[in-house]
Amino acid sequence: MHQTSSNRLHPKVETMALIVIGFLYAAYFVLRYGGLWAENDTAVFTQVTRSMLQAKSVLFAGQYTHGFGYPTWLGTLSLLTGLNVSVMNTIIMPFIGVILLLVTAFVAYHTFLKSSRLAMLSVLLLFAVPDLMFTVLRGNHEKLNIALMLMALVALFRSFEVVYEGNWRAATAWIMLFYTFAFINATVNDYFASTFAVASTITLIAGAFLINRNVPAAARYRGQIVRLTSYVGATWLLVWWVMLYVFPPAGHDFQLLHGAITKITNLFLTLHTSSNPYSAPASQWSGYVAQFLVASFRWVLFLLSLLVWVQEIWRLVIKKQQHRTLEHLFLLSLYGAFGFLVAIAIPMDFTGMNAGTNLEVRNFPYFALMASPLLVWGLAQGYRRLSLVSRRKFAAITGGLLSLFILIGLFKSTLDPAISNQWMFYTPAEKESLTAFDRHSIDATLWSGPDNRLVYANAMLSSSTGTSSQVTGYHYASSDKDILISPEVIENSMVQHKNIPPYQQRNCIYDNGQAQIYRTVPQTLFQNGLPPQ
Amino acid sequence: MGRMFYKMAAASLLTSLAILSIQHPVDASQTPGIRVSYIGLQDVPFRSLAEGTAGSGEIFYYVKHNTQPSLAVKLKNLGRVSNAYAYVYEAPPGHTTIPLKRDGNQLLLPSTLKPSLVITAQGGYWVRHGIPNYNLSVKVFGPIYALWEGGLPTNKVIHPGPLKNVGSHELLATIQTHTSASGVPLWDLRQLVPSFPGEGVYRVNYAQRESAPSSWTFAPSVSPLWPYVAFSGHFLQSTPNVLTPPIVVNWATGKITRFSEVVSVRSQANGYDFYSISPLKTGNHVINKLDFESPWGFYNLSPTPKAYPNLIIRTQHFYSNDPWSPSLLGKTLLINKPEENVRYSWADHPGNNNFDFKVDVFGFHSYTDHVAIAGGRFVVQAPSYHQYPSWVLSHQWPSTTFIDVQSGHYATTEGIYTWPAQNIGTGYWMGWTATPNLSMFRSIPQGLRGEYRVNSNHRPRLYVSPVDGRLHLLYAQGGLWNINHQYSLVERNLNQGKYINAWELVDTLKGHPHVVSQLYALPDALLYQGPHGVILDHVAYSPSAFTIMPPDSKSTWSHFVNAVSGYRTGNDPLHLSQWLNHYFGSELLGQGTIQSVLDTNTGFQFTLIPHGTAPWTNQIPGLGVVGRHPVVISYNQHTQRWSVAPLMSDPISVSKIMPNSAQANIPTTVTIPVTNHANYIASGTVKVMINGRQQSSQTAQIMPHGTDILSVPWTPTHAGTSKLVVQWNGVKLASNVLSSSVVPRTGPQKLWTDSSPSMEEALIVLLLVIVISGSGFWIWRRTL
Repeated sequence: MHQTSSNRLHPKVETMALIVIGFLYAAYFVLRYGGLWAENDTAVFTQVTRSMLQAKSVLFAGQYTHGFGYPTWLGTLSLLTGLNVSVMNTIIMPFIGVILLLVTAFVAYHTFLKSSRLAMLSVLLLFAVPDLMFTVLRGNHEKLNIALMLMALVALFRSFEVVYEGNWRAATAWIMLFYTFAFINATVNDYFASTFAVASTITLIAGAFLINRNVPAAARYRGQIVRLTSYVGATWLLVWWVMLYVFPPAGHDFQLLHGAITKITNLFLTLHTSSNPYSAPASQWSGYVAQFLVASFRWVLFLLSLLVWVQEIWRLVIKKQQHRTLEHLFLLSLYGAFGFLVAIAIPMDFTGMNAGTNLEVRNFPYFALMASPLLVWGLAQGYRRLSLVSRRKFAAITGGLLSLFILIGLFKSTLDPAISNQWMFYTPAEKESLTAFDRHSIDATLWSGPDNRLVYANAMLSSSTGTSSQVTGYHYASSDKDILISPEVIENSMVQHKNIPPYQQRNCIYDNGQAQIYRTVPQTLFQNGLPPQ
Repeated sequence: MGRMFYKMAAASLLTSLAILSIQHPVDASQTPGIRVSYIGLQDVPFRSLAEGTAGSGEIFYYVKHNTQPSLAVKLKNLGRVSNAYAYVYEAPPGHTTIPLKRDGNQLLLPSTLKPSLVITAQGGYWVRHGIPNYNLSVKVFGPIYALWEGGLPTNKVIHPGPLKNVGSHELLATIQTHTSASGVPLWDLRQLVPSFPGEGVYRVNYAQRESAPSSWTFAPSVSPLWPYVAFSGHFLQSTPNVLTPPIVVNWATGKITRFSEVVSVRSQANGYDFYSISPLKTGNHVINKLDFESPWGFYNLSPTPKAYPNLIIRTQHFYSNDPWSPSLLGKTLLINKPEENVRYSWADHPGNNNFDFKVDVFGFHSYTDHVAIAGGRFVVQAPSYHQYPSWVLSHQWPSTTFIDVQSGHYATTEGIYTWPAQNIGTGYWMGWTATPNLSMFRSIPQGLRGEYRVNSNHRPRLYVSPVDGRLHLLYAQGGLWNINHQYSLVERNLNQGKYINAWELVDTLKGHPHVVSQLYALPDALLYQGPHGVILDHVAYSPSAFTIMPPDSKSTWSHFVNAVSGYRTGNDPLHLSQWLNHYFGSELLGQGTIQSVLDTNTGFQFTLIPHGTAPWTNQIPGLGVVGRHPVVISYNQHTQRWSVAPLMSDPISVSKIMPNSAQANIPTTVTIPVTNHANYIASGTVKVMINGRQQSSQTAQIMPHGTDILSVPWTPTHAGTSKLVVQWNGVKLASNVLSSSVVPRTGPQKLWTDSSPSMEEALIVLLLVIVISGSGFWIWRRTL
């Protein structure tokens, strides 16, 4: 193994190790259920991509209205490789997502922290944030949004550097690259692109505020802050251009803004919530211990990074310390901005807005991306003050805890049934039964479980459009002609304390040994009795 | 110089005369209130232009003493071999008249004003020999009521007309009409132009005349030489064989409100029509699938020509996977089979807008025939006009109702609306539930008698019952006759057989309905109970005099009228005892009441509760003695034997209820053995309540000394104890305590193992990952 002169591993070895860890993480995610996993966004984008390939256009009825980038990318890869869209989205994309995250996060953190070692540690910390890992591993656009945002930040700082050096040719290239990343980000998802724009705007405002208050650390970068205005303005223009002209279906999202303002106003005037986004998480885990464990690192990350942030803001604004890099100041601002977005997402989630029932969950990974390098920087400051013996103990304890959190994160990101009541896997027997139902049923609705686990699985498997049959989950209705029963459906109903529909008195019309489909015994001539004549 | 002067003077004089002739009102209407002024350009007289001479002219319609017109028409004829054009202008927005401008001696329309109607007349003329030309193509611009329901509020299926969404000069609809050689309009096709995506609006109106009228009149128009403007009117043509001009104007506001139907849908004796939500598609070899009221048939089945139909067939049809099927409301599935609800109404007299009978059928039948409409311009998939009645009657329908107008008159232009056969619950006819919604059949308008059948598949055949002397629906499950404000007659079918065999006269006065009298047509017996006591008439009779189908042609109509004429009045429904006067069998008579009448597979059974002390008169051989105590009388039709058994007070008991325990969230079946200790059939309702909530309610008929096992599905929602109560006819029979426990969560290790994939697959992929990673690492090392 290559080592540096200080008896540490060569940075490139450490980098490689990081990639291997990421690869193994993705491999575990895929292999945990033998590749047979599905969840909401993965199913949606698989179906959208299939429809897009059939329509041979990015504009078609049923297109994902917030951006066409991910289905286009997924569809292109599927066509290039010849792999089925669902295989690409569930088996290959997790690996690609992890590599994208590792590479772009490492480069971005290196830009912020000016240290490969610290960048590597920051990236390692990300493995312990299961919300982020799940976001990146599953089959939706967020892996691209995250990568593009991080690369946009890198391009931004590179452009600052080369402008400062007077290298205008290189500056042009980096500026164009920044705009390209911002544009692509908007085509992938206008919400997350505008989130980045909002965060950048807040950063700009914060910078202007600090300069106005004659904060010495910020005053040095007056020119860059001013230059940042044009970047932020251009980012907004690019986002709006995509929403209004490039991909008009995204323009409907402007209506969400009006609705959101109205609902927020009502919420604070009436204090009446339309939904409780915290009721679901409480019942999602097998017990309080599991619930505590899976949320533990989130709180550790949040509280420790907040402590570092507050302390640093105090030093800069009150103590008027200087000698901070622009990148460091930017990191502080972005941390505050994304933290603010998480904070305002909380009341938004209480409004019950269709597009806003899980904004906190969606904004948190971005906050974690900024919290991680900030926390590592803060820990590094404290580490330097420790004695050699203390450093070894600290490293051992931190390493041990981090490993534990990564392991817990693995269980959470795969929604492992050992700790989770909501599952994302399906069995080969269930897959067969869904395929049989899709092929042979007419005008039938199949109840498939106490949640949408198998509904998503069916979406991954079925390419039928305009079908007269449907797979449903959650509440059993009398209109559900068929019921799918498997040991997993029964077990899942038990752990969620939900009733299993009475299937014993129905006809068993399908049985593959592990999964069965039961159909209502016809009692009237309208039940299975009247084919079209 | 002088010659030139005279030439100029002559030219000026001629010009002045020409201008004077242009401005002089010509052919003005004689009707008070509306003045018509014609200005012929190039000196073309109005009559000549109307008859097809090439030229142009303008017509202005003035209301009372207004100086500006409320309506203007620009006419342009290109000659006899070409078409004639009319551009009809209404008052612009914000005005009630058209602000003409005078330019010297000319009247000019505002330059920004666009026509609301553009009419093209084939043949190049408007009127010849007093006959208007209705070979027209019309373009309708703006919110003008030009298709059916274009201006009416929302109904359940069809969304509000497109009027309110249409811009003032947006092309709304196209209309094509065509006439016979004598000028009588033959067909009228209207198509909505804007697509209105997602809106359930009428996109096609088509009306076709199927027979020449016995007489024909063109109603007066405001300007006879351009006879399309009405004094007033509606969208529908209300008088048969009279065509009111189609352009209807609100003279007070100067706005065109309607372009009325040219071929009447409802006011003609023989018509074939379509009102469709799905549009017509153009193209070679296109077979159009229209829906909703497609088709609609009007027939005169009487031997002589009449103005009104006496058979109306109105359907509500949706083809397979029709996105406009009402059952899709709230659902996202497509229905993979066609559905239609047909209202088949007829009269037993020549058409006069009153109808006497209806069969209403609902089912799932495909249209297979192809019919050319609009002179062959389009082909639609539908039964043809002539085959439509037999198409309806030849199919079997799983839901059918029958209406007989017993008293009063039912005037309608669309058929008898009462009791549509589809309104039995969407969940029921979609097959989601086993219980139909029969609430519709609990009431009926006064004077109507209705019957329904929703549980068997048959053709809509009728029969005449000699018991009540009326027409009935074969296999009807039940019925109701709203006789008058006080009495109703409830009809029932006790054994789900072919015939109605029970009648109950109900007094509904003062909100406390109670049965006044009952009559049962049982095997080999007629049973009556009423103010006169109980009469059991042991007599052979036929439940049906004859069966007959509704008429579908002139010959079958005549046959129907003759066959049914003697049964229109029937027996007096207010005196059921008189129905027995036609039968002369041996009788059991006495004071008492009857209960629990059963029509069984082998005969019948009922409970007799004697009242008073007078002895029973019994002339029925083999019946036995009927004393003063309640008894159950049974009759076996096969052996012709009677039995009389004392009525037991508590013949029913419940034995061991199983199981005693269950698991929360897991469905189980509770079995309840119910035993009948009597030596007669025990009939009643068994209800099972768990924790106060009804879990099951079933009608049971338990054989003598027999046991029925009741199976009640139940899923405990939580751990603990639950109280189960069994009721028989509302009386508590038994109770039990059921315990339920929570299934402990499976251990995490087992869950982890059970959800793990097969080792082979995992190992293969892991091996690939290691190989790829290792190869990459080796390559990278070589580069260091």
